[in-house]
Amino acid sequence: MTNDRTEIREIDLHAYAEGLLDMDPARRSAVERHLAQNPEAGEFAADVRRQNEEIRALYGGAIAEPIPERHLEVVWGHRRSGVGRLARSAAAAALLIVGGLGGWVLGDRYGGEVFVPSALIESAATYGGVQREEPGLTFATTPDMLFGPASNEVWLRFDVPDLSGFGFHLADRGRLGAPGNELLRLTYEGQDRALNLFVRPRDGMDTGWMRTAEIDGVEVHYWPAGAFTVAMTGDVAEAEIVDLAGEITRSIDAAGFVDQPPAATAASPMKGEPGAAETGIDPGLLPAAAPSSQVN
Amino acid sequence: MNDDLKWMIERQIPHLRRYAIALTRNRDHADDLVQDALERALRKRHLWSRSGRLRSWLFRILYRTYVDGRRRFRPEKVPAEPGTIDGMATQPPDQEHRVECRNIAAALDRLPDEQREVVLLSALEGMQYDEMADVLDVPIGTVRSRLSRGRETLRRVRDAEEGPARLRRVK
Repeated sequence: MTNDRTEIREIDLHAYAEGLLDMDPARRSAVERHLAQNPEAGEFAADVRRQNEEIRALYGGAIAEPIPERHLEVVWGHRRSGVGRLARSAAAAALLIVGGLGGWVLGDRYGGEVFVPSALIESAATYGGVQREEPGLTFATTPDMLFGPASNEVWLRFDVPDLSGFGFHLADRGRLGAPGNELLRLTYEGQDRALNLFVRPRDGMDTGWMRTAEIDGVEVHYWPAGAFTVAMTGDVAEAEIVDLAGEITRSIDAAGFVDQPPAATAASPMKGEPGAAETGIDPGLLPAAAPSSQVN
Repeated sequence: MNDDLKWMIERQIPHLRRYAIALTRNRDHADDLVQDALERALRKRHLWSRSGRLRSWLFRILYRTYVDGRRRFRPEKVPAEPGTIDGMATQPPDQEHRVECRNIAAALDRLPDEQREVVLLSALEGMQYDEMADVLDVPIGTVRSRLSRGRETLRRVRDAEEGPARLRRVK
């Protein structure tokens, strides 16, 4: 895609607006310089991106819907059996590991496949500190939410994002919502400020753009991070948001499957006590090299 | 056919359904279209080259199925209803969002089919020019031209319909 042309043509503007110059940074930079000097061209590019966002918002919900059984029967040749589900779960697990390693690189540059359940955004916006406490970072789910209908349960685990570089430490965590449709909540505290993260599995492995919604005066930043969707609320400076999201994504995007949560984790209560997270997690759930600050 | 390929095909079904819904604007027609396309793909699976993109191959079959059955799948030219929009939208259906969805749905309805098909592929699937050309079986230059004209038409239609007091999404 790289070429030496210095003149910016209409086709370059279209390619830029459609996000097709990501693999050609030199050309993309040239177009960006052109856009900076030509407000009308900049407006065109912004308008195309706005069109894309609205089209994806209009049709995006279809991605998260259950696949009609008749489609699956065509593919699998029969109603799916337990053996079939097991095989696909194994394949799913393999893909998640690949996705976890290369999510940023392999991700959808548009993030257009992202389905963000309104329940996640609303839960993030209206969270008032009432939830059941549970210590584990493992997340019980079914491949349903990740890979299409199936009934066997899988467990996902990711490391607690270390936000100490931003002055935040983990103060509390718990789960919201009914079993089977749960959100994991992580609450961080800093000097005179707090931050809440809400995490739930999603369909897809890509990464994408962060978006912001406002509900009842609460700003909710949300974005896809590998196999999860993350929503973030709290006292965060505008300039920190992107960097925070990057740090959070690095931890969460590396999620991996585990057979089941170690009994010690499931049994070790947190009881909502600040700081109890330090002892509430089975060390086996964290990588051997993980610093304790990850859960401080 | 081994389970890996079946599984990869299954992974594409939601994307095929989304494009089919956008093409037909009718969920029943869309599911019929996807069903036909999957049956065709499975019958012709020996034609898929593993070196090629499975997504492109499946979308090409879906598109060919759509074109072949256009009379059957062709939607009426009516903007999507609010209930349909709420059902498909990914955001909480606040009033502003609903208006935006209705605006873009109406603007898409005004596009000629060949422009709409390529705009949807680009916006929904983020396909590159060459992949869209492969799916639609037209030269890359044709894709560029259709996309360019489609974008411009969308812009003009929306500007005209929304007027100067353009509604904007909450952040």
